[in-house]
Amino acid sequence: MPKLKQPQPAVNSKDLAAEKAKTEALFDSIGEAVIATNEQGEIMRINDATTELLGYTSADLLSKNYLSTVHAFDLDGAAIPPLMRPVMRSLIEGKPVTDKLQYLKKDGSLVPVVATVSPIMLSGKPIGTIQVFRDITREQEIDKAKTEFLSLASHQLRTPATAVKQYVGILREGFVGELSADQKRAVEQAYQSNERQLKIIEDLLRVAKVDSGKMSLHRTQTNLNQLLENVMTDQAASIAKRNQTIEFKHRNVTCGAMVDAHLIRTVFENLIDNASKYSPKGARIVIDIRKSSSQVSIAICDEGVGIPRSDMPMLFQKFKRLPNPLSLESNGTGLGLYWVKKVLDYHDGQITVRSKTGSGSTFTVILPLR
Amino acid sequence: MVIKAKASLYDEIVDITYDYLGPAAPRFIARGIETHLSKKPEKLIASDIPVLLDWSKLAIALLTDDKQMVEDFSQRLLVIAERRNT
Repeated sequence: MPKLKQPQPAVNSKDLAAEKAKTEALFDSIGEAVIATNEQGEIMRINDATTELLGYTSADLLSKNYLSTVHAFDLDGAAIPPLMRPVMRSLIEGKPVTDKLQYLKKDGSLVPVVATVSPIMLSGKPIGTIQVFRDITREQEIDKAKTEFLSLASHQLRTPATAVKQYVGILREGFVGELSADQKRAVEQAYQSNERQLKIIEDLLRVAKVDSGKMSLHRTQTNLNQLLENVMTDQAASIAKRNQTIEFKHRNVTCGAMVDAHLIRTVFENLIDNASKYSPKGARIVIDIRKSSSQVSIAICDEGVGIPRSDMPMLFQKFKRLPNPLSLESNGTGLGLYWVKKVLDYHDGQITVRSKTGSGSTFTVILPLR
Repeated sequence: MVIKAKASLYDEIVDITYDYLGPAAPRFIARGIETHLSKKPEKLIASDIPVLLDWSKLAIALLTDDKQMVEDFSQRLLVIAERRNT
């Protein structure tokens, strides 16, 4: 058996210098900006992309305390408290943290970035942090233009679609004469398609509104049990059509929260509708509401097709639809879960998902008690 | 006779950390214990302190920009660890 030749460690200073130069060249060649801090919280390494993006020289940054040198603001322009900065969160959580924020450039302007900060580990011990970030100005502009286009297009579409609804409604109700059985069927099809069309337009409009930051909450003390029961009643017919059953576990405890009842209702509508659509005929859907001293959690469990682990990251993304082997319908917009997440963000709430392919999913909504 | 309840190790560490982080100290230490030691704050034992210290001193160095303060914090925590170990 041939012996493998072991690589010789670089021991002399010439080799070490060459290795160091190579590492530095590698670091500087990274297209995205990089900042590494040491155990003292000082900036120990940056690359060319960092100085280019922030407008500072190396001398401005190196050996300076990171938090007091590189100032961070949220996307609305408010200063981020030190403990909430991604670098601190990555140390508190002990794992990489990614966030969108703005950094203050040397010329006083703000640059929007997406940054990922990770602790640097050596032999199991943290010895500093490293972050990679990039300018997202262009992405934000495109996103804004897309939102404006969606809003404008949806507004323009809604008016004629609403007119179609009125005229088809007149036909359907027989106000302009009795229809034959074939005509009735055709008009009914047109009516149902128009209903779906209007629903899609409404979805697009409300997502455009939430994306533009124009959504405001009208919080009232809301009985969440009652709200869930109302949604279940509304959806009872479509659930029964699939021979499914729905069970509400509340243990005779009424849970209330200060929420925008109309918006939270849309959250439950989406989640319960999904639970039914992605479950086979005869399946059971369980809604379980619980209250603690600080929050209310509502779990919606189904016996559906489940979500593959690989699809999880795109679950709450805009326009992403997961395949549903149980349905040939393709009338979704891929906006439902995106909307759900946004509404919960507005309420400082959360949503978590547990799922196993073939065994069902549990979506848990967590709402803080204010 | 007044019997003074012995403060838990977590409380002692929070008291020290308060001098550096202010009101954020309890949450900061509790989260650190849960994340890095995978246990509840009240279950903290002296032998956990070095790991907690590894993470905390990095955070305090970033927040205070004062090497002496970080050193001081580390020493105070190590003293507790030693005292609780003996």
